[in-house]
Amino acid sequence: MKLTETKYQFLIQQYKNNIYSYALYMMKNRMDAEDISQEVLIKIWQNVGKFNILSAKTWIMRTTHNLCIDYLRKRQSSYSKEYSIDEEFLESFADGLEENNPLIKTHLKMMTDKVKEAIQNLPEKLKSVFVFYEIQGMKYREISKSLDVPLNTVKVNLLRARKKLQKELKHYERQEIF
Amino acid sequence: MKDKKFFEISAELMDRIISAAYGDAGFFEKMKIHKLAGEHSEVRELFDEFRNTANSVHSIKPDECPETVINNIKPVSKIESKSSSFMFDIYTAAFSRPAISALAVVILAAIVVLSVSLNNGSYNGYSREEIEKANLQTRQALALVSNIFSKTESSLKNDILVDRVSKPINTGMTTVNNLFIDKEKKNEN
Repeated sequence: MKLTETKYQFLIQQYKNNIYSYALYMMKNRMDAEDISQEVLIKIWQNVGKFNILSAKTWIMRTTHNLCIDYLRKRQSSYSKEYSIDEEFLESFADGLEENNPLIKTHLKMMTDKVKEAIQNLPEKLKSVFVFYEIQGMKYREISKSLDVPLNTVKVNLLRARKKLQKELKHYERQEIF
Repeated sequence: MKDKKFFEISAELMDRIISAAYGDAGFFEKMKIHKLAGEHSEVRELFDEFRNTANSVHSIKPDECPETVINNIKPVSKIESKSSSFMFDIYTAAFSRPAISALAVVILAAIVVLSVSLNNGSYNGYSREEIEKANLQTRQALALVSNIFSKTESSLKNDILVDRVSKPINTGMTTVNNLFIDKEKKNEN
């Protein structure tokens, strides 16, 4: 097997979930997220010999981010939210483990969904920094390179995103009460 | 009254509370915020709110990429999505945790350097003094041989070539010359 193929396979295994997950947060629907992931994976294959393996993450996430922005511009406001049945979630009720207690699991699932939705509703600039840092575990420097913004902007946007998210979740809580 | 004045929580303090709640702050900063939270309920409330959100956020894992996406790009890349080759394993081991790999290499290099420097005092079981002595003796022996060669050369040049080779040749040449001279004189007469 050629070294290029090995490198490509390694990159796919390592970053496919990060690519898809980021695209899903940005696009808010699975179809677009899958299309973007596919395009990014093809771009990696086309450029696999051109970039250093150690700086690959930054390159890949920048490409993903840029594609998401392109898609969002094309789509403009024709956004349709997707409601899908989580088959895995339904299947988990079948086994009688305590940790799979439907009540607890439903509550946790609702909480997670609520947080995910709140993250998705953040403004783009704040959301990209927040997802990179909190969900994908990237460093400030990596985010700065990926988004091509100064390091301080990353820090400021992350703080703003955290505050905004807190506000959004409070808003949800109030909606639940009333 | 004193508490109320202090706890119009400033924007700067709020930022510090958020950082501590999300786990970004350093150890001492966290301790400071915890101390403040213990003293003032407003700080405690704010800190707990942000920490709960942070915990929820951190419990979210990246969504898994569907296999269909990988399958769809196979015709373009013409390779399988999964691999179990030796090269792939090496690659994964080296680059999935580059810091750990680098650390392992540094440790290995350190062990090699250490073992070489430890063995430096006695090479193949000989001490440094023994090696130096042997080195000196070798130099002396070579100096003797060199001396013999230079003496031989000078005696060859000065004695053997001059007395044993040049002189007989000269004598022979003189004899032959004389013979020719005698014959010429006879012919003239």
